[in-house]
Amino acid sequence: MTTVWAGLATGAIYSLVAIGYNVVLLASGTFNFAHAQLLMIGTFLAYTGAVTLGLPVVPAVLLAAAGVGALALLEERTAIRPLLGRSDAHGALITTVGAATILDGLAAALWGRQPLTVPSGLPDRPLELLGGTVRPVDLVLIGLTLLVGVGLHLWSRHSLIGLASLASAEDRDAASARGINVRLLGVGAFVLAGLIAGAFGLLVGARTYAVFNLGHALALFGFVAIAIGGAGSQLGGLIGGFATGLIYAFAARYVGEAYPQLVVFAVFLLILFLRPRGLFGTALERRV
Amino acid sequence: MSSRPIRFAMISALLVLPLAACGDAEDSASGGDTYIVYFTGDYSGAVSANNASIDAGIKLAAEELNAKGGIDGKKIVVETANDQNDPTKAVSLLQQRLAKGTKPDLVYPGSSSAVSLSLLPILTRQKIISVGGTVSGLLNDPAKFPYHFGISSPGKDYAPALIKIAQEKGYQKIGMLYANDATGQSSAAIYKAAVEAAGMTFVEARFESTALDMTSQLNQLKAESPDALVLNGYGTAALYAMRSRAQIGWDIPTYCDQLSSGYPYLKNLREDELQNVNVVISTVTLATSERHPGLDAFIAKVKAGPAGKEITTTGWGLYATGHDSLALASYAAQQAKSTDPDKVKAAMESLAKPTGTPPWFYAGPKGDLVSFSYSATNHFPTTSESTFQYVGPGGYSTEGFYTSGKA
Repeated sequence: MTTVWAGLATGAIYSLVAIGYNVVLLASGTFNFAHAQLLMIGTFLAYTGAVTLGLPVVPAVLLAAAGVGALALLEERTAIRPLLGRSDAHGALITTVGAATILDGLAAALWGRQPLTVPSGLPDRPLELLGGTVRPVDLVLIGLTLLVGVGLHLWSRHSLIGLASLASAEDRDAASARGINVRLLGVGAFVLAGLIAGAFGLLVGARTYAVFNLGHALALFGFVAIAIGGAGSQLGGLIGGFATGLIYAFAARYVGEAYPQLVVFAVFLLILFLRPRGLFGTALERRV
Repeated sequence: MSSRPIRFAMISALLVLPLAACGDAEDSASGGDTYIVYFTGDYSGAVSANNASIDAGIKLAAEELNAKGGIDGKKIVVETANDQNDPTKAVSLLQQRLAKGTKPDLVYPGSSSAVSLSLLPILTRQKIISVGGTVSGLLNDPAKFPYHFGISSPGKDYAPALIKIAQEKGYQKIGMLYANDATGQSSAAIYKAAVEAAGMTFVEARFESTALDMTSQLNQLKAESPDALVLNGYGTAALYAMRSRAQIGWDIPTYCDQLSSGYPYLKNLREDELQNVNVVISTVTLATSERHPGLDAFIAKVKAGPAGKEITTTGWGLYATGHDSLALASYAAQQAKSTDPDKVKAAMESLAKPTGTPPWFYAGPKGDLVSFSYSATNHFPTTSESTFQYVGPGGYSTEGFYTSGKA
């Protein structure tokens, strides 16, 4: 059961990255490759709030959320906005990779290259639960990720703004003609994704430490998570992340400690071959 | 006027210029009354703190030797190059330097084995003596790199400290958790060979650089019921391993390898997460060890210098690596009564042990902790059973000595 808890806790982080990818993808049609780096910056801001400034948990979380939200807004204005309206749809992919590189460098320059311990404010002793051991911070991380993932899924299906996002994702021009402010939706999506990433900085950092190159591994497995779950599906991203974490943990424990990454990518390829839209993605009809 | 001849001349010059750096050793000779030390290292990247300590040590040794008349009557001049720990850049900078005409007499070839390995073919062709602190076994190849000598102990010299403890405690099975990369695999090969040679069983588990948790790998090892665990890894990898070990409640005696021992665990983990954890340390760097008579003055100069603040991060040992490299080259030149590379190489391969206190610090006051008894087939130092020992995790004091229990 310890392997299950470990897989779920790591999977929760992959789910958070996938959720961030999907929020932006749904509302603005852009794949933000820098989202994992925003989560990484969130861990550092949480460290700054909780350790450097000595703030209690709630203000530290708010500081990290506001900081990363502002950074995401800056990214949208500088890396995405100038490219809107261009015929080359791949430009934004390149600029978000550039933003990711800048954020890596910025974190290393500001906070250094050594890992920093982020205190979660929760007891740190592992608990015995359902026959396995798990740290309280991991339980909270798993629970809150589920809550945010399911909440965003329901919001995107049942609220007016959520439905407008879906419409915008499907056809920006048609959505715009129907009076939806697609630009504002795009900006809002970046800020929302940043706020969520920042708010989770404390919990993620308590598990991974705040370290400047954290984004690399998270980006890779976050991408696998949305490919498994289905791009554009919040529920799919959530389940894809947990599935990736569990597959990795079980492969490391039972298949062979040298092969977890290979097993994860084998599953990823299998899903691409058998169900290219992912487990929860929907096929789009297109007249040709 | 046609520009074709000009273009042809420029292209020819561009082609010839790099080749000038690849000429024979006889093409040029080092300066007459100066002894040039060329130190290539990372002055701005990830390992710049370590580099600053080595740089300071070399410069202090140059100062000390120049005050005594230099090497073979020649004044020592230290030249530096910022290779950013990039082998390609290091090669390019060295070739540019060699194209100037005068060869360095001694090269400290970089802060990583990859950089050293990239430079040694050029240094061999140019017959330039190099002394370095990088420790890959590939560097100890006198047939291929006859002018290169190692100043630091290779990774395999750390394993006997573990075997000694394992035999004392009667361990029968040793498990090892290591990174699935070149460094981790190399360390595992060393420990596997040592453990099996001592008649014990070796079991292993690996982790990828992307791993955020190691409970699965540790549970797999735990299922094999080893008596002790060896850990390889640095930075977050080392932290994840220790935290996962504590999470599964496995307080098995744990021994860090050379790489893992350098990590400041107490800055990031609680004491109860480090129960039964031991790190391997050079005996000479412990505050309780007998000190070289010149060491206190050396540390005082280090602390007063521009890189003095790094002493609590790297310890005094890394400064000594720089210092001892030059001190060793100077001693060999003294024995050879020349700075001619072939004569110095011959002197190195039959180096007489200094009478009394050695001019280098890392071998201890009697010079018995590290022995520079190089031969025609071995260009790395040799160690004794007491060179390394396992202690509890700690950190470096303001004097640069390792202190267990100090964060």
